[in-house]
Amino acid sequence: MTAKMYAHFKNLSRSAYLPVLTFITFLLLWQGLVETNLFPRAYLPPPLEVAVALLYLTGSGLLLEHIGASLWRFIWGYGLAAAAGIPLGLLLGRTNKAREAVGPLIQILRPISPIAWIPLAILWFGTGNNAAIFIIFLASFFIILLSAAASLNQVEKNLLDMARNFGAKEKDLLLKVILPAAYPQILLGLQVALGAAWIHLVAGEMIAVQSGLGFLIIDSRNLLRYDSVIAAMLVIGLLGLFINWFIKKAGDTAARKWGFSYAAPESESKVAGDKQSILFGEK
Amino acid sequence: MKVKLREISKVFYSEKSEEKEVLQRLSLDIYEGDFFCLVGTSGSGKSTLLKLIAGLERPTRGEVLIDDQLVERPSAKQVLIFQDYALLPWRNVQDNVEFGLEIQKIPPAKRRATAEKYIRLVGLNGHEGKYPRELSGGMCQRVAVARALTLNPEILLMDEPFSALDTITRERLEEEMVRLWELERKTIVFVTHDLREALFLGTRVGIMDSTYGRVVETEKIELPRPRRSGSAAFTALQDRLKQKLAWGRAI
Repeated sequence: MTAKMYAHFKNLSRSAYLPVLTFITFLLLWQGLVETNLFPRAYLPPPLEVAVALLYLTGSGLLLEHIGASLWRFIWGYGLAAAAGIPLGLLLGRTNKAREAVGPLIQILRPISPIAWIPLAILWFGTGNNAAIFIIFLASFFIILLSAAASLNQVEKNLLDMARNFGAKEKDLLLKVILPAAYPQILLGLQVALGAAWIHLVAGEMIAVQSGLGFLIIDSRNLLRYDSVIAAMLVIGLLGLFINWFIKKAGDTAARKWGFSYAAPESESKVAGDKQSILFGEK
Repeated sequence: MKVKLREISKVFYSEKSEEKEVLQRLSLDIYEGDFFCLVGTSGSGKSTLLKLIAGLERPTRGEVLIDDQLVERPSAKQVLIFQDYALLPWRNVQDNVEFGLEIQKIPPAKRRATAEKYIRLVGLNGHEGKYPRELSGGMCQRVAVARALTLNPEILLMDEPFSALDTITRERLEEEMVRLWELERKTIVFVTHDLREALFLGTRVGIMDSTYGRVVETEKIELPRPRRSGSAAFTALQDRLKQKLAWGRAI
């Protein structure tokens, strides 16, 4: 093992130490609550039972099926929201007239919980995938739209003036100044929207469809299998964590590929200072 | 006559739609090869004046002429250098300096060579791979100067470029600016609120007055170079012009 790898693992184990400790404490407390009968077994299945349920769900292939169904809807709903929200948001941020015209309407629609849309979603799309996708779309669309619109405030006017001074037209301004400057804020919006979309995915699936992790929860409840309910809840949490990590990773990779990245390569000295001699006249 | 401002007025509207006339019927001539320093208190419209010359803003009334041509839009012939450098934080030194060339669709090989030449000129060779946040303020301003020079502009417009820097860095960059001007003989319009800086740098100095939004006085600086800001002649001139700067201001 090289020294660098060793340092990496040492770092990792140090940063993992506290969360792992918390997690173990959490499980012990949970088990303790059941053992001491503060919470009767019927009201709260202990961790071990949940683990068994999780193993059963995994082994039977049911879990994978439901995860697949959920992810598929998620990708559609969230993907459509991003595909529509980012360009519309940028347009909204760039044109004062559009912002004036559409702003108030958005402000009214935005605070309506996506769950309140479920009756209409079912009326329009029937029970099935499309209704759930619509709910996910609603949950993430406004967040992405508004953060994309606001991201343009991050673009300093001086940078635009500088670019115009060098002869930049709209296309260059957009590709070489506005998008790179707005990118971190857009990415942040995508991450926040991701959380909202994932939360409402489960809500949508509890009502509109017959598959997916949300349905698994409702189905298990109907069978009075609360161990499976909690197992499904844990899977939702872990998958949410994973998707969040994935989006952030993908965003960073894209930024590096397009040269939008603010991260500088490692360097010996952070600020080198004006140490070098006067060289304007060196020529 | 390189730059001619004819009866320029510029009116801004505040959020309450109040009119504020920052420049009022301002006229000014700047000659070819001038190192013209414009001195005035903050809020006297100096930056606005530079943006008008750059073509980034249009005057409400009056006209800006460069080589007897009306300035209607920005052009790489006259390049503005900002106080806050206006570097792209996601680009390293090399790519920042190449920005103007890239916009002008210069092929990559030529871009690189030209950028390298000017990076060396401002003494930043060896730092090409660094990002703005890794650089000191003085180094950032060198990058901005190098970027401005790549397109070989005829006029450099500098908006308090050194006022955010510490005294030592600032005085060094002032000396380098003089050498650069002697070397390239570009027309420079340099805005500052520091009379000492103006007298150290300029061939001519203009005194701007915030109450009237006008240049109330221009004076040719006859001090021999290299100038020393402590010398008797320098101090005498500085004191005399300070009077005018104070008079113009209605307190």
